[in-house]
Amino acid sequence: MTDSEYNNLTAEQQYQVINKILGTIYQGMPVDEFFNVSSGLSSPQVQFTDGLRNIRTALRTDMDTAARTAIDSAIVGLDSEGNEDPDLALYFFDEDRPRSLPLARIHEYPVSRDAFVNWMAYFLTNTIMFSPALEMESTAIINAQNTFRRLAIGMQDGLTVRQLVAQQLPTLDRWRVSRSAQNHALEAYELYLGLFDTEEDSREGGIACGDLYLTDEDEGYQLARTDFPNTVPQYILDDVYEVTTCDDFHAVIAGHPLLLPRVTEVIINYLMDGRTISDRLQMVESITASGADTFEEIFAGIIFSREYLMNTERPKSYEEAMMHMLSTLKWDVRHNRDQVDDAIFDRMTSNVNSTIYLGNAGWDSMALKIGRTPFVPMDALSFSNYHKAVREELLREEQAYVGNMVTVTREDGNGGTENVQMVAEGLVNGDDGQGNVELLQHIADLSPQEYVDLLFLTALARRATATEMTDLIDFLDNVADHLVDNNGTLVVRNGRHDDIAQEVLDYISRLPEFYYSRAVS
Amino acid sequence: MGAGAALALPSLTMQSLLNPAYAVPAYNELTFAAPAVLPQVINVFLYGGASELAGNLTNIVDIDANSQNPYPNTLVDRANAAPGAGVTANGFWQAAGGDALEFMLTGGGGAVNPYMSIYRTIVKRKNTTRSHRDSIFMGQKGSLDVDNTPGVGTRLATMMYLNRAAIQATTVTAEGVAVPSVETMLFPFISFEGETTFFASDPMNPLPLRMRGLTLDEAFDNPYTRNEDANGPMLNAIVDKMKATYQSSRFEKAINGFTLRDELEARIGNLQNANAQPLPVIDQIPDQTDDFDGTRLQYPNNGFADRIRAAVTLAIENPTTVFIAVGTDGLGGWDDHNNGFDRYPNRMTDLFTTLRAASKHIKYSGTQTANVAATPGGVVRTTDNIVINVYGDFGRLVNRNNSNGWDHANNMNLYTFGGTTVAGMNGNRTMGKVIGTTMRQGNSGQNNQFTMPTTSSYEAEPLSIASTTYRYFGAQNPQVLTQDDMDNPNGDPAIDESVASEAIL
Repeated sequence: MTDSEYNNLTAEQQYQVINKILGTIYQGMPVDEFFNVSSGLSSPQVQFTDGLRNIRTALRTDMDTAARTAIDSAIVGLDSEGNEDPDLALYFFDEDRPRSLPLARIHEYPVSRDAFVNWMAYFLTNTIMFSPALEMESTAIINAQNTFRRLAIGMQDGLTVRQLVAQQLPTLDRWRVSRSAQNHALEAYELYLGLFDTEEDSREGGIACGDLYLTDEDEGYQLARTDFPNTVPQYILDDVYEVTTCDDFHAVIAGHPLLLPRVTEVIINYLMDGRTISDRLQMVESITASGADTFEEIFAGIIFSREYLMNTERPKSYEEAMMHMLSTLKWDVRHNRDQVDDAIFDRMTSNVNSTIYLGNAGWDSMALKIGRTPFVPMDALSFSNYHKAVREELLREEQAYVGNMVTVTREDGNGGTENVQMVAEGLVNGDDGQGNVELLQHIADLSPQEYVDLLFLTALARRATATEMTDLIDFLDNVADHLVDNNGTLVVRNGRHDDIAQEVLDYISRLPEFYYSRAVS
Repeated sequence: MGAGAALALPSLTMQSLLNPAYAVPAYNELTFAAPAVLPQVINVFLYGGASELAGNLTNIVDIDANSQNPYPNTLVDRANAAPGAGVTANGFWQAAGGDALEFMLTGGGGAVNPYMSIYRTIVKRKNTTRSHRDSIFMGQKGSLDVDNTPGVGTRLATMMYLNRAAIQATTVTAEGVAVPSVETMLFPFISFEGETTFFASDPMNPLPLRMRGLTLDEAFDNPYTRNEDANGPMLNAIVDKMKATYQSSRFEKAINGFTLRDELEARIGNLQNANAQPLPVIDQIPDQTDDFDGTRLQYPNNGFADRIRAAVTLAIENPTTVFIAVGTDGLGGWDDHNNGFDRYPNRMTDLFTTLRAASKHIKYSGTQTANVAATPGGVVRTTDNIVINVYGDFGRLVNRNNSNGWDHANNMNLYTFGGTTVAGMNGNRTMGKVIGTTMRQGNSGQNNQFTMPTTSSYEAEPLSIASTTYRYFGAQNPQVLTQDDMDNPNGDPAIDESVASEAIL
């Protein structure tokens, strides 16, 4: 999408575009950061011009090292001497930290290249190409950590896809998944070239790699050598390539012309689920024709494309739904309530007993050898867990995002003012967790209709339809009794903003569209 | 190093766009005769591709003599094997569930009816890919065309839906009551393995929502209940208005998810209750040797056993559940490239002891067994219409590789249990049979040795397992549901039930 195409969209569409991009990478832009809400939400001004260009630039810009270090230190609780102190840590981690730390960083980092790199590495470690396959007996959490860090550091340093694949292939992390020489070759063809009928080529690749083997459990699943390397040239892939050693074999895979189309295809199958094969093929061809040779270029090429933003509609992944809402609701880990507390990302990635555990929705993290399915599981069990977690632990659980009570004033309808108790919801929370009083004041001044729209924009990036507005206002007024007539004007009852948020977000959690990354067009 | 290969993307090509034209199952070519009693099939898929060796050590001496690395002497030298560590009379690996297999094949020396038959020559000849992805898709879609094609469960559901009038007119459930209209059957197609390829959809033949795959877990856990207050129905009413404004098929997956959530919320409690009931009393002596707490049946203690128990409970308590897909989560995968001699035998033992308990669970829940009046949930029915099939992606090489495992190959076993009143091709299912003989092939000392059927042996393609399932439910020429014009124009027939067994020792 070009900047001019973006600038020609309506303000609400622009907000949808920005949040589709940020939602994809598990972030989000709150309403008040995009719109100026100081004079209400009837026809608010966009806070900045060239929003698309700003986001694009931000995702290309590295964070200041000191700023990043400060966030990283806060996340794990580094004391003045650089030692980790759990009491100082913003988040709780257990031994599975390599699975949950990336999510904490993505959430805490500002929109930046660093956040993008962490997201890309997390995304890739959940695909068949780089999954550490934690469900397997031969793998351990250190393999997930190594694979993730190798990707993240490499991408941060600008390594190409070919370089990253060349790095990954000979590692113990890869061998603990492939486990035998012949299967190492077979999986290399499948994962990185998309070749699935390689019986003879796998046998020959296995001979080239035959000097290497994985030891048994008793010996710690180490990569060992027979000391009898192959010396007979093998001819693979229609006898086009000659390989004698496993290094030769790895070089063929990393240098093969199918590598970049295959890698692009795998990514597109996730991001453009629901589009026709023809559409996806066109996108693969478009990306590869552009000369993209880094993951950064491939991901950005897809995410910023007009086809993705305007015309692609697919179920949101669990992280997209959950973490996007954390951002737009301005959830703060310091609230530390219920399931959505400082252990939130640990619960999501590795706590099998938690309601918000990703595996309950068929969306395990780094734990599937063949990667996550290229579509979000929406079968009855997975979807019910997904819906239940997002609804009950975040949207309907006001404790997940409320802070302290704050008193502001508003017009009383008689020319004077009255004090209003406002909960410092995450939505209007300040950095100190005590509430952004200026914003709270603006929200106190919103009409009930504007407040409902604020909640809709926060969760769905759209306003309520006329029917929804009529029915919800009727419900909030006559059933829930959250509104009151204030000298001829319907206003929110004192102290009821959080109750209204709970009801309206409950309604939104029941809408099928909430679970979709929608086509802006 | 040679020049680069031509640029083409095999898994996503313009050719694949043409596939739907070839791959639509040929329901219009099907000859259908509704079964008298509605069968029920539990399909256990061994992800990763299990080695055949647990169920077939008949070639072990030759295999050992040609393997890169030797096999344990206890398997090769039968005469001197320690008790329990060798090979059973019918060629099973004792330490890899062989004793359980032997019991289920022979019925404890003939004292009870056998529970199992084994087919040792399910061999991929038409498409010899050793890729997990393609092989799983072929097995679970019942088609060599793995792109854009529906799953076995979906094909079965579509066949039943298209022939629903004949089923309603002819077929009764195991309770002896007429099958209701198939689109309103309760829990007909169930997965205990999450979203599965067995229920991959068929856009050309959309099914009523209830006939699409539904997922449950082994505890019949209930995420379907919504923490609701009195305002919920009012909010739902607004949601319904909104949904009516969506363009067709927009947000369809979430809409269906909500619909099924509602339905399960209302019905899951009955299944939870049934699963909490005591297991059946075991009153026949040969069956009391194992899986027995002194009075009642007892399953092994592992996650897979919990899942199979739930699947069996669902089948016996709900006679209109016709197809259940179960993976082997809780045991681990079967992709034993390494460390096979440490892991595989124990995993196979867990698998087959669990299936032995499941077979008894089915048997002692049905009124065909003396003294059984009803299921624990109070359903009065026979249970000899319940079939369990066990197979996987493919087989494995029989060479012991340098990582102490086995790489991929194309001959595997089908273990099939129960269902002795179910009609197959050329007769009813019969338990207690060993079908197929094998020989080793491949160059000595290299990692490409495998078994293949002997020249006189019966053999079947993996797709025949799908055809056999269709046959149970009334397809007289089920091969048409596995055919596709490009890769498999004739399809694959159902397994022939009339083939005689090898001699049982």
